[in-house]
Amino acid sequence: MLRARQFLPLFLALLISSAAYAAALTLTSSSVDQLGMGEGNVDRYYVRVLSASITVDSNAFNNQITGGSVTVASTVPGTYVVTITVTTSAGTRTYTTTATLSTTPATITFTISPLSYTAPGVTISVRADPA
Amino acid sequence: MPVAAVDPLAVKPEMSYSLGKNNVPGDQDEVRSVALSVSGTTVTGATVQFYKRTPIPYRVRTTVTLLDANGNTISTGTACDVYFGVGTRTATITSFTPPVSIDIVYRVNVVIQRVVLC
Repeated sequence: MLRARQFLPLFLALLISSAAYAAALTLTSSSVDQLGMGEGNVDRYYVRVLSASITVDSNAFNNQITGGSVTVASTVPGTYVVTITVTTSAGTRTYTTTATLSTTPATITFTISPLSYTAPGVTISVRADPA
Repeated sequence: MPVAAVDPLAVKPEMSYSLGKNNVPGDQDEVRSVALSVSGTTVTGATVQFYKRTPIPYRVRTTVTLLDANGNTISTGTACDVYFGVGTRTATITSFTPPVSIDIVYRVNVVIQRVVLC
């Protein structure tokens, strides 16, 4: 009888620590479950560029592009790093900004160091990556 | 500990526009802008602004081509009109054939060309 009383505190301590361990396991498994959802719940976005325009320094044939604007939307609203690349046969210029995009098009105005607007033309690429 | 928010995955993170500039005798016109019109996600038209350099009146055919991820043409729209004088002019394309979703358009090419007949 004396021995049982002696081991009672140890028994209670074991019981309490087991309960705490079980609670910790439950919380951990909840987090692991979230990880297990994988790509199934990840949003997939499409960038929609609805317009592109350039501004030039003059109306002379040998003019230069100094900037422009684009209207951009994304099917998944959020903050994006938007990179605009302007390319002619004379070279390439890049403009980067951070913008909040949604399904409603947003206008982004950009400026670049002058770039000769040569024939056969200019390519304006717009890329948006999550910020 | 909560799991951090996951960034959206890119299906189509980029689009590009090609604006044409001509350099042949009697045609040194250049495209300055293009705006697509959409209804829902379907591309329904385009408005093109170009700079006309040669004063005499002539016909200009404006062609907007929509390309997919592989560079294949998936739809085309055309306008053709007579334009007068020098300055910024507007071409309006009212339909694309066939109708396509903006979400499968990766590249937009805009070409203007002086033509004898439309």
